[in-house]
This record gives sequence, structure tokens and C-alpha cells, in this order.
Amino acid sequence: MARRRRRKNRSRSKTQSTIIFLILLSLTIVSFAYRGPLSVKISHAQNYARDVVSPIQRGVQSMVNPISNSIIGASNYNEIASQNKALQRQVKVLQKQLKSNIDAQTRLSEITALENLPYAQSMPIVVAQVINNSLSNYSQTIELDKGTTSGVGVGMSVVTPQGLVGRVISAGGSTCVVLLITDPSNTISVTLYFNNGQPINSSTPPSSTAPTTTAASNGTTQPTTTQSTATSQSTATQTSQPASSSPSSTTAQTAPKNNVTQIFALANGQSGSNHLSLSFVPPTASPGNGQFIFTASLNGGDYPPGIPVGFISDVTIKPGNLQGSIDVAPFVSFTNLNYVDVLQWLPAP
Amino acid sequence: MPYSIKIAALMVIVLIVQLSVMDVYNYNLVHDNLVALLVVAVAFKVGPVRGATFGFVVGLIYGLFSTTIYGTSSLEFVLLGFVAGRSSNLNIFDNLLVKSVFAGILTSIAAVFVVIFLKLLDQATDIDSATVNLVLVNFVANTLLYLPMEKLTGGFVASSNDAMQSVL
Repeated sequence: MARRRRRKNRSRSKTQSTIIFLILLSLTIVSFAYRGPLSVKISHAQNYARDVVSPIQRGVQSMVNPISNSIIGASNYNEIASQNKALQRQVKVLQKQLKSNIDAQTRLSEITALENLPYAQSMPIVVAQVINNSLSNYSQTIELDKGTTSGVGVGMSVVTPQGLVGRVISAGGSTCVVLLITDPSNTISVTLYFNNGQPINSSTPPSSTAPTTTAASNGTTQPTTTQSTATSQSTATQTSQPASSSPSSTTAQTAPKNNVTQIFALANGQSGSNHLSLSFVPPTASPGNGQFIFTASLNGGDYPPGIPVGFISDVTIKPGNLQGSIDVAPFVSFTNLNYVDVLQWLPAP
Repeated sequence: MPYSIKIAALMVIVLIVQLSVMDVYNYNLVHDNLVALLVVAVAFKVGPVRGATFGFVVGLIYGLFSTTIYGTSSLEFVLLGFVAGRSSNLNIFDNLLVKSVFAGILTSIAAVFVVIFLKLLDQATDIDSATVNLVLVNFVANTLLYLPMEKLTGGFVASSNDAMQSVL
């Protein structure tokens, strides 16, 4: 009896010591990986592992995507059934026009748009495909199919024709990881433009006078703005209304130069939301709904200046507060990213 | 086929599915963690020590593909493997439904543990709606997927046999 009890105690203490050893080992690895001397080597190993797995990922995705699409379609049955009736009426007309693959055309137009970014004309770019839309539940990241061999490096900005996507936080040989602007740990210094104190809604920063493409595509709802400017003393009158615009819609907008002031602020991602929040806006400024926000031209900034980030979607000022809560909707829809541009621009050291 | 080889092959398949497919099936950008479910299913079968050890190894491999701090997954899966293995002898787990719900709860708690752990390291924000989604997604998906996973790991057949023998 006593021998059995002794054996049971010995087994229990062995179990406990093994578990404690494994927990301590895990914590040691975490401390080394977090800020320890091995963090760089571990990061390299992670990049190498992602490089090795990425061809398998792509292969599996190409096999599974049709099944996934049908499952996702089945979950939205009612909506799809009503759409189906409307679409059936259009199919006969469209069949004559659709001679080539729609998907290929869409992708081609996406890539063409990426080659002609209105706000990065002189900047070298690398066009990359998104191979994983969500690498982790604990950070908002995407994985691209281009790495250091294609000239992609850590710190480079990632954009689409609509605007800023994020920045590269890790780069392997053939893949890289991008931290989205909506991640709570991402802070962007941004600029808002005003003319005589009134918010300017323009798809390019006022320093540029070139005609520009409205930052909108793939059916996302964004404000389109029209404005009229006259003399230096006149106030820019603006109308802002939400509208769906297609990738081909082009609006010639000449931004005002007169009495233009700019203020700097910080835009932060918000946990559990696809929007950003604006902070450190001077109390004297009065940003308005629909106002466009660009990356700031401050020295040492993480992003090149003048990239559209989003537009103000909500301004709430509580009584007694100096500063209101300002919500920014990004121009880019992160749920259906296919191709992006990596700007080969690095922040000043 | 030896059980260890079968589980290693299953681990590779689950990792590929997790990395290639699961991001498509997301709810508000939160997706299920199948790897955690695998650790629970294996630990239920092999007990606390081997379950925790398996969790540690799987965590090391999974950490290579995750963007969280390396080692966090190991810590999560060691604890998950230990708790699942330790509770595998409880009588209530003769009922497979209870076992599935428990697996869902365990994986949800593990996900919250990671959020709190990352918060302590200043790597995550407050516990908010994203965390609630994380708990819901892990609980619902892992409760539903537990039985197929247990069958794949060999536990379902064994427990069914036990159940039939007890009836006979």
C-alpha cells in the first residue's frame, strides 16, 4: 500500500516537474524572441519557414477557393437568391459582351492601376499579390508573395490606388508580412488641409495641382467631392456626399492653393474595428465629415507624404471636452485585397 | 501505423489547413484555431505530460508561421495540453457532447490567455469586442469540429468502443 502511494507520489512529482519545465522553457523562448539577442535570428527563421510553406499555401488555396466560395455563398442564401433573379435578367445581355474572363480582366485592371499610382509617380514600386489575408488573430496583418529578392524590405509602405494599406514589418526571401493601418499598434502621422479654416476635401494634397483620379474602386462607398475655388480670399465651398464609384471613374480635381493651412495629427488603428481614430487634433481646428486625410510630410515619418489614408466618417464632440472623437474610414477595403504595391521608399534613419 | 507517426502527419495537415484555408472562414477577421483543437484532442487521448509535450512541439512549429511573439503558442499549447490531458479521466467526458463543449471552452480560454499574456507584454490592446469575437469563434467552431478531430486522432473510436463495451 505504502509502496503504491510512494510510486503515485513519484509519478505526480514527475508530471509536475515536466509541466513546469515546459512552461519555463516556453517563457524563456518568449523572452528571447521578445527583446532578447535571438529575436533577429528567430525572425529570420520565421521568414524562412513562411517562404517554404507559401507554395503549399498557394496550391491549397487554389484547390479550396471554389469550395470556400460555394460555402460562403450558401450562408448568404436569401441575399444571393434575390440577386440571382436580378442577375438572370442581365445575363442574356452580358453574355454577348463577356468574351474573355472577367476575373482576368479585373485583375489586369487592378495591376494596371497599381502601375500608375497618382501619388507615387516617381517612386519605384513592386507589385505584389496578397497570399494570406489574416496571419494572426492578435494582429491585423497580411502576407504578400514578394520578399527581399524582389526588393521588398522592412519599413516599406504598402499601398493600392485607393490609398495606404500598411507597412512591411517582416520580409523573407519570397514573402513579406504587412501590418495594416487599422492595427491598434500602428500610428500614422497625418495631415488635414484647410482653406480659410474650412476643411478641404480633395483626393490629392493641395501642394499638387495635377488632375487626379478619385480614390475609389471595387465598389467601396466613399465620399466624392466637388469644390469651387475663386480668389485667395474666397472660401472653398464644398459638397460631400457618399457615393459608389467604379475604378474607371476619373474626376479632374485641381486642389486650391490659396490660404491653405495644414494641421498634423496622429491616426491610430482601433481594436475590433476597421476604422482609425484621429488624435492630437488642435482644438482650434474644425475637421468635417468627409474630409480627406493624407500621410504627413514630417521628417522621420514612417510613410511617404501625400498618400491618401481615409476620410473622416464621424466627428463627435462631447460637452466639456476640448477634443472630440474623430473616426476615420480608410479608403482601402481590407477584406478583399488581391494586389498591392510596395513602395520602395524607406523612412529616414 | 504507429500512433506518433499518425499524429505527426495529422499535425502537418492541420497546420497546412490552418495556414491556407482558415483565414477565408473568418468572422470579423477572427478565425478559428484548429491547431489548438488538435492539441486538446491529442491530450485527451495521451494524458497531461505527453499532451503538454505535444502542445509544446506543435506550438514551436506553429509559432514559426504566426506573427505573435515566438514561444507564445508553445506556452498556450503546453497549458492547453496539460489541462486537457489532466481532465481526460473525468467521468463526465463519457458523453461526447460534453467533451466537445469542454474542448470549445478550453480553446476559447486559451485564446483569451494569449490576449492577456500579449497585453502584459504590451503587444495587444484591451480586452474588447475583438476578444469577444475570438472567444465566440473558437468556442462555436471548436465545439462543432471536436468530434471529427477526435475521430482523426483516434480517440473517438476508443471511446465508442468503451461505451459499447459498457453497454454490453
